[in-house]
Amino acid sequence: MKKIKAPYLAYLFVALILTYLVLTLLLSANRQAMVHYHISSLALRILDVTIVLPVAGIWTAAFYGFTKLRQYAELISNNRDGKQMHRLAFGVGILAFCQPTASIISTILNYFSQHHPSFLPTTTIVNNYISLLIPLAAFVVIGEAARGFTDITKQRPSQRQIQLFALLLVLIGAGYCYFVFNGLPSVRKLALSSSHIYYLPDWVILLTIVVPYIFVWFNGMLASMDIYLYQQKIKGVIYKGGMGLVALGVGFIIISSIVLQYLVTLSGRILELRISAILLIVYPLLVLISAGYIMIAIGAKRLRKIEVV
Amino acid sequence: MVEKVNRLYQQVVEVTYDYLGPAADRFIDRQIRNHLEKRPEQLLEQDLNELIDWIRLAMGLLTNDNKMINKYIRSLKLLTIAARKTGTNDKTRLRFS
Repeated sequence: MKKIKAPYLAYLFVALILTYLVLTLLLSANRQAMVHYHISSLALRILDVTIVLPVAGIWTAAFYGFTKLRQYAELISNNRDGKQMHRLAFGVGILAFCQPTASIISTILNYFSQHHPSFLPTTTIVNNYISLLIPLAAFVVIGEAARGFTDITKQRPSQRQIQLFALLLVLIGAGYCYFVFNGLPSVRKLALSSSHIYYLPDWVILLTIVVPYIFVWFNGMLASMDIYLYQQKIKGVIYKGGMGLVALGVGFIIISSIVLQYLVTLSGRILELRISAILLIVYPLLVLISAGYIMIAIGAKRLRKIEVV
Repeated sequence: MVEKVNRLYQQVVEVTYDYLGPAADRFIDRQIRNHLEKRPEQLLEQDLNELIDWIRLAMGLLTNDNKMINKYIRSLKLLTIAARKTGTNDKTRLRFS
């Protein structure tokens, strides 16, 4: 398969970001949000800017991480770890390109459903599945890369590590299940059931959203653990420094994915809060996500420097 | 297939592995090719001091930890002493693979 040259990828990425920004700011404001928060159209636009720009910043950080990983992978293509680094870069690239694409689709669908309220359930279902498929694809690829790294060092997790990993996954999965189907007492009081967030019967939510998300997090957490084990086992003080940052960055991205999905299940409750409180929840999450990608980029830059000096 | 393996080069890479891990052989190859203008298997004892100087420069670009760099360079300099003690001109051996 012919590799796409870096400049074209950059042009594509910039086009995606600009398309998203233009759509978000030019399409008519969400009237329901204006009524709910008692704000004018202009105020809502300003609020949109305060969210949209940091989100675009995160995607840019993701693209930056992807390009640095890709540059490093190209330098070590003919080596054992080169193939795995290419896979890792591809996984991060899926996140970098598919997230803005999904947001563009979501923006268009949301705009359409504002003018055709009967379309809202379809919009919600499509948005939820697109949001699921992107991390699913990305973390499966990242997981394969991470497993490839541990194959190099012939390192496998210990029994204790596997047990702790399983316990953590069960806790996260069980918690997510609880919040999806029960939510907080105030949510139940308002009769905002899970079907209002997903517009699907419970069994469909369980099989096609909850289970896949737990599988996504399983892949992501396993990838994090594998890369961490590789970084622990491999020799080379300076090499470990760069690889450690990449491992930490992948971990941050996994954690932020889990936190984000938890927040989605609590969205009914969160939307009742004041705007300032919502921003206080959203901004730290945005910082966490971008920190992950920036760490990956810095780690890849350090590794690349070893190959060029 | 018979290939010539330079023992001295292998020793330099082994020492470097503690600091650069999987990138060790690529790093040493690059220093030998770019600065000594030789192939790695042509590395001789008399090239070692110049190679060490270039390695020190390169390591200075990778890290600010002078203690680590000095420890690395000391390990490499021990190879010059060991190479003199073995005192053989034949630095290659044949390896069958």
